[in-house]
This record gives sequence, C-alpha cells and structure tokens, in this order.
Amino acid sequence: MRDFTAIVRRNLGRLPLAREREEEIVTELANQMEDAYQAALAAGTPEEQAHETALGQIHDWEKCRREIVSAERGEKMLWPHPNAIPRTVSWCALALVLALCLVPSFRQAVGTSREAWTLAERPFSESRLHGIAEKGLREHDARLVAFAAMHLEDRAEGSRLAEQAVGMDPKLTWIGAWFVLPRHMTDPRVDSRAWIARMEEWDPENAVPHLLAAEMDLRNRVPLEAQGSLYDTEFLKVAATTPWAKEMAAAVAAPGYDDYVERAFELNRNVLGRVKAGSTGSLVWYTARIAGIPDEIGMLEYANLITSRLGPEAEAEKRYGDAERLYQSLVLFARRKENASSFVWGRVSAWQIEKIGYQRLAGLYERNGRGSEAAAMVALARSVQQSGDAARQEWGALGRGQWESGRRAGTIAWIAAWMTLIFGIAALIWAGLLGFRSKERVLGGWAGGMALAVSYAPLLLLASCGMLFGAMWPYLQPVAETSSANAVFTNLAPFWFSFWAGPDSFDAWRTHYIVGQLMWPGLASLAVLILGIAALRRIGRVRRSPVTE
Amino acid sequence: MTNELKKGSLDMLVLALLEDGPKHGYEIGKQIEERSGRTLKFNVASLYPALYALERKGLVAGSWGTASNGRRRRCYRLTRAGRKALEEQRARWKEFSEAIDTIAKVSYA
Repeated sequence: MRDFTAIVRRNLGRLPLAREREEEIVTELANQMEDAYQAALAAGTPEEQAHETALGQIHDWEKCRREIVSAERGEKMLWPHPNAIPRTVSWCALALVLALCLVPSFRQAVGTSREAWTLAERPFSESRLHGIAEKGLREHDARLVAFAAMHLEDRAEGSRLAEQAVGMDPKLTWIGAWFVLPRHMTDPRVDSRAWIARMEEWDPENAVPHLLAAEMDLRNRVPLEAQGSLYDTEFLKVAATTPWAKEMAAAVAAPGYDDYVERAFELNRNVLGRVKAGSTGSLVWYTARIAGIPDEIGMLEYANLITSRLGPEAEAEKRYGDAERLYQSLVLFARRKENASSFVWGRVSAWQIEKIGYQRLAGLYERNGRGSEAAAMVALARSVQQSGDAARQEWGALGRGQWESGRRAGTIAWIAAWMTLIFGIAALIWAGLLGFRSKERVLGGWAGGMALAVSYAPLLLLASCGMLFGAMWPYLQPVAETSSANAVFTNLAPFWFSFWAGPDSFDAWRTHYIVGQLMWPGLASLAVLILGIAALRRIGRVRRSPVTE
Repeated sequence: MTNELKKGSLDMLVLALLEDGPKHGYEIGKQIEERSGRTLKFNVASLYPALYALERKGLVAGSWGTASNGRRRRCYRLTRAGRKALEEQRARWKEFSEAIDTIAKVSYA
C-alpha cells in the first residue's frame, strides 16, 4: 500500500494555514494521487508505472503550495517568493559590503559622498572653520589660524584672524593676498592697503604684491558689476599715467616672483591632512580658490602697453637705452614668472610676454644697426614660440584626456553614490523586515511587491559599492601625498567637479557619455544581472526537487 | 491551447461541471479532460487552488463524506451564488467568443 498522504505532507511542507485545514488539503491531494494510481492499475499499468503516474499528478510542488495558499488566503504572495534573492545570498552580499567597509579607501569614498551631499557649497562650514581657528589659537598653531582665516566667508573676521596668524608666525604674511582683491570677496571693513603694505615690507623683492596693488587700485575705481572688462579701450588710453601702471612697473622691475600659490597649497594640504578632512576633494575645492593670483590679463595688458606705447614712444624720442631697458625688463620679468608659476596658464602668459619682448628688442637692434644681436633676439623669440607651442599642445592633449576621463569617472561615481544611498536604505529595510525571518508568511500584493523589490537590494548595494569604489579609487590618494597645486588641479579637479555637479550640468556631455560610452557597459551589467538571477532561480529549483518516497 | 486561456476559463468549467451535481476533485479534473476530448487538462496545482478559491468566494461548497472504499472524500457542490456567477460567466464568454469569431472569421463546419 502506497502512503500518498506521507508523500504529499513531505513535499508540501508546512502551510501557513490552520492545522485542520492543512490536514484537509493534504488528504484531498493524497486522494487525488490515490485515484490516479488506482485508475492506472485498473487500466493494466504495472504498479511502478502506476506509482509514477500518481506522482506525476503534481509536477511542481512549490507552485502547488503557493497557489493553494494564495487561493486560501485570497492574497497574492507567499513569502519567501521564488523570484526573490535567497536570504543566504543577500546576507553574503551584505557581509561583503561590510568587509569593504574595513578598507580605509572605501570608507573614504563613502564619507566623501556624504560630504558632497551635506556640504554642497564648500567642504568646511563657517562654524567648523571657527573651530579650527580656535584650536590654532589655543595651541598656538599659526597654520590652523591662517587656514581658517583664508577660507572664512566672513572676510573681516578672516582678516582679523589672519593678523593673529601673522602675529604668531610672520612667515605667513603672504596670506594678506587673500584680503586684497574684490574677486576674493574682500569686505569693505578689511584694510586691503594695509595688507599690501605689509606684504611689500615683508617680501620687498617680490613682484606679486605690486601686481596685487595694481589690480586692487584698478578694481577700486571700477564698479563691481563692470569688473568683467577692466582693461577697456578708455582705460588703456590713459593707463600709462595711472597708479596701476606705476605698480605694474614696480612689479616688472622687482627681482623676484612668487605668486604664493604653492605656499597656499602647502598650507591647505598640511591643515586638511591634520584635521582629517577626508578626501582630496576638499583640497581640490580649496586649490581652486587659490588659482588666479595674480591677474594674468593685467600682466599681458601691461606688456602690450610697453611694447605698443611706452617703448615705441622712447624709440621715437631716440631714447634707445630706455626702450631697450623696458623691453629687457619685460623679458626678465617673463622668465621669472615662467620659473615660478604653479599653473600652466601662468607659464603660457609668461611665454607670450617673453616672446613679445624679444621681438621688440630684435626690431630695436635692427633699426640701430646691431644686426647680430637682432638675429639672436629673433632666434630667441622663435625658440620661446616653439617651446610654448609644444608645451601648450602637450598640456592641451594631456588636459583633454585627463579632463574627459576625470569627468567620466566623476559621473560614474556620482551615479554610484546615489545608487549606494538608495540601495543602502533598501538593504536596511530588507535586513530589518525580512532578513531575519525564516518563517513563511503571506504578503498582500503591495507588500509582496515591495518585499520582492527590496530582496534585490543587498546584491544591488554590493554592485553599487563596487562601482563607487572602482570609480573613486584613482582619486582617493591621501591628501598628504598630493604633490603640487598644478598636479591637484590637473589630475583631480575634473573628477571632483564632475562628482559634485553630477551629470545634470553637462547636458551634451551626458548624452555623449551616458548614451554613448556607458550604454554597452550598462547592457553588459544588465545581462550579467539577468543571468545571475536565472542561475539563482535554477539553484532554487534544484533545491526544491520533490520527494518521491 | 495557451495556459492563459485555460486558466481564465477554469472557474467557469468547474462551475459548469458542478451544475450537473456534486463531484470530488479527481472527478472534476477527469471530466474536464474527457469532455474536452483531451484538449483541456488541468494539473493539480491549478485545479485544487481554483476549487479552494471558489469555495472561499462562496461559489462552491465542499463537504466531507466517506467513499465506498472507506476513504474520506471531499465533494463540491454548486451554491446559489455559484449558479448566478456561472450564468454571468457564460454570458460573458459567449459575448467574448462571438466577438473573437467575428473578427477571426472562425467557422464551425
């Protein structure tokens, strides 16, 4: 006698129904099998084959139990659902995510993402900067105070702190450059002239305090809204007689050139490394603020003033010695600037000035019968032109490549960071509501759908964490290991700018990369995901193969 | 016949068979198979859940009895609500199949 009741009970398992009802269902299904068995025997089928026929009444026990429970409860889903990711797989994925959290770089990547969302405008809040300043004053650490002073939005307060920092360490007097120009958000309460005088006294051989003084003078004469075109035709007509030209002349004549960019960069790097700012993103943000001191356009305009007005006027008055000294001063200034400029654009403008100086000297010597010297100047002008062009091209190609790869990685990291946040929340919901539940339960349509969706969250979280880590990895070097302002700006800035802004700010670029370059990796990932789900379902099906005896 | 079409018509088939008198699950399945000339065959995982759902909705009523061989059997009979539902389903099916026939130009030669 075959015990179909036992077979049914074993294969059907416990149903989330009342025990009596479950017994009724087991009996009814066993009867079905028994009927099929008896009918097969009656038709002359051998016993073993009849038994197989009876068992064949139910091919898919899992489906059978689901359908029965749904029919009984009038609800949609018995949880866990066969399409859901198995709990063990989800827990393994979460374990891997936790293991990733042990990697310092990954923690930095996640921390950076959080930082980017919570501090959209700048890395350090005003209160954090005040905290850093207070720490510096307490510990008599001038660098901490100077850092806070440079970056406080309240420029008057920043200037006051800067004076305290310089009081502690006069070598930091250069930070006065950040309290001089309106484009550095100088407050009317800040005494910019006092800072200029202080810098000139502290660093008398440097051209840059004079360049800053020249620009400050000019900007103070022009309304803020018109400062986009400082060097207009009207100004250039009278420029030679303005205090601007006097300061520019002093700058060109000064024997030294230090734009303070590397000093500022070193201060930022040192302090950010010490206060554990997290990522190089903060360094990029603050490095971007120190670029542009002093004003390159002003220097080119002054070079034009010399080569097109002051020099030719001296030549016309047969003051050839004065004209030669003017042109030579330009060349020497340009060489000093070229050697000292941190950023490539600073060197590019230096080459331009140097070339113009050589060309004017060549013309002057030619007109004065000094042919060999003229030829030498022509050769030097050509050489500067060639080296400038080569450097520009190399920089352009390198810059484009780094810019594009940085932006691509930044966008991927931006997308991955959002995915990590969303899937992280979903994974927490999964862990809280479903991860520890081993008992079956019936879920309504909406809850069932949500449960099914969040069951994928841990795996998707692992994937997005991997994507975030992979995209950020090359940009997560410790702040202390960055080499120079230029290197930070060239290598890291495209990534961070893109990461902060997200793809929305680059519509054409987004279309190009998201559709063009991310489409195939995206489709490949989707294919892997589908294959993975299919494999998991297959594994689940094998595991649920029926008991036949 | 596609599974969707079969599944959609199962409730009506069960109700229609029970119109002739009470039957147990095995009998219902067998009669569907035989009367359809073996075109329709429902597996247990579809038939019994359909019966349970109809019972839950009050369209059929099940009761336990004892068969001649001494086994306990559950027989299902049509309720008044089930009869009404069957009429409605028949009307809908007729309307539906006529519409399909007209469009698909099906002829019963």
